[in-house]
Amino acid sequence: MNRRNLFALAVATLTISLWLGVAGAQQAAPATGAPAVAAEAAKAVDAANATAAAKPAEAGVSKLAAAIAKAPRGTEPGMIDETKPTGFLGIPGAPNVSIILAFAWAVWVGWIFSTVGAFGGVMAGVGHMSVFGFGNYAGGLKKTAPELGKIVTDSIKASNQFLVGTSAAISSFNYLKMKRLVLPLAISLGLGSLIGAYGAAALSAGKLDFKSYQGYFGLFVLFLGCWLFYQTTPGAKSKQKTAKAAAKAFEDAVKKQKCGEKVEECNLGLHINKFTMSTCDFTFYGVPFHFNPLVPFLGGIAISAVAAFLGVGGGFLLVPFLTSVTQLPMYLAAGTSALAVLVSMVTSIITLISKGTPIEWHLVGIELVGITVGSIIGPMTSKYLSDSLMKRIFILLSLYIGLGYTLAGFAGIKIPGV
Amino acid sequence: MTPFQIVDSLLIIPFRQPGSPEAGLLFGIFLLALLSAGLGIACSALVGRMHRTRQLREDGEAHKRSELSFQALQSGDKKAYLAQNHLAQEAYGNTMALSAGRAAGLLWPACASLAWLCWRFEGVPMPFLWSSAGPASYFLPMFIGALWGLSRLKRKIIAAPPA
Repeated sequence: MNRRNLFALAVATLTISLWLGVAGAQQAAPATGAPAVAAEAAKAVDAANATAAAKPAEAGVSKLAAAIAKAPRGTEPGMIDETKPTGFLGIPGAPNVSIILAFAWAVWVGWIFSTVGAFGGVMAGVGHMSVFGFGNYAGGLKKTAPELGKIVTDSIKASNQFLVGTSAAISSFNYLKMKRLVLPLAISLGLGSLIGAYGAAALSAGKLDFKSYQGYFGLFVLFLGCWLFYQTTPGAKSKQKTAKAAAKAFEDAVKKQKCGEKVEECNLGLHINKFTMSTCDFTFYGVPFHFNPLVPFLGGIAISAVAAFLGVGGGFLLVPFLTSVTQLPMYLAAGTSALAVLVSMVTSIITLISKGTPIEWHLVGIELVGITVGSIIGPMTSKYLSDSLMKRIFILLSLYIGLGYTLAGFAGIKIPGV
Repeated sequence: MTPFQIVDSLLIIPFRQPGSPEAGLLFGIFLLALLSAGLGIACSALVGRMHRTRQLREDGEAHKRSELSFQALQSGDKKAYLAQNHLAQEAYGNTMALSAGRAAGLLWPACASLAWLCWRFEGVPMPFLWSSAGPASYFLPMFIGALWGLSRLKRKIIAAPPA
């Protein structure tokens, strides 16, 4: 089977699983969060058309509807106030995010993606949790309606992952199309990612309260901030300088070789010489490489589990992991991680949805429009801003947000603005 | 009429065209998937055009470093290879973040359509499918198929020599 067929097979498998997953999810969670009154009015217009196509429906009660029904009624915080209009996920009294706010925040996220980089993913999460008020709402349900609180938390997580993971998956797809794929590595990494993403999503779905999620997300952001800060220290800069000097020395040496030596065709590309459960030997441009397939398998489990648990993409961790552990060339690592990122994201979202986690598609859609607009504005404005200043601002921001979320999640201490 | 009602009344038209309700539903979802895919590809291309200068720079850097790392491999210089590979990976990270805008441009119409479909046909079982299936069960495969078909068509149009 050639790579083209393999690629087509992978897409077909994912499509079918997505199809089946969503169908299963609709059995578990038919509610989508649209205002019930508007839905009734609209359906009345086409009742004849719709019912003619319809078969007798089973009146199933969704997990969300059951959790709403179970929650105590009243006007106190943490209770369902049925006199208030429906908000997030169609819950009466839940925060109702205005389209303008959702769009404006997403423009900011898109702007960060196109200027500063992956920190946009963190900001997408901050939007759902803090700016739109979903976090506070879910946190307030912890004692009165824990089941509903956990469903709202899962929905926040799935929305985060959708916004962050799609970019990694689509970017990785481009590298996959270049046909730079180490099949044994893709299989072990993909299998690990499948297990990790499914395990984390299945084990945490409906069990993670918002405070815990906020704490773990905060730890992740704090770690990211510390890592970015470390990159600016003299020690890290010196290491980077050494690497850059080695790279420059080689570049100069290549420039001096003006003979244009031809490379033997048989030495070009990738040749797998041996693949067993514990050894993979291959040559790339004639240079031998060796790795233990168990390492990417275990790495795939760990990275995908973390990504699925936190609702973040995994691509930004997978590529450095592959290049450092297997020492694979960047293009090969990026291409190989494509399947892993895609498998991880699709598995995690499908697992969450099939466990009855509802997603507000219209909110995700509005946010995607905002990210599109923000990423158009980004390159236009970035020339007026200093890269190093931006980096410092975002290091401070990630340290502050990370610390704030960790303290709020694990110690119940709130710091201003988070 | 609110803007939403105008859009709603336009989107529902194809669903009423064919005689049978089943055919109308499938035809409507197919057209919606095609429209979403077309709009997504157009938006993604627009974002790509706006990013062109930066994208070329980052892609060029990643490509250059990658080529140099291959040359280092050929000459057996593993230290230089690892250094070039590290720089290539940094450039790749930048291109990955840049692709978020393109990804969002590609997918927002599908999310908007899915939201409308789920709202419009909430609780309505789909013809020829099991009772739990919703409109997404038809929409998603059609959307992916339309993306694939339109992308191929776009490549063919771009590759075709001018008349």
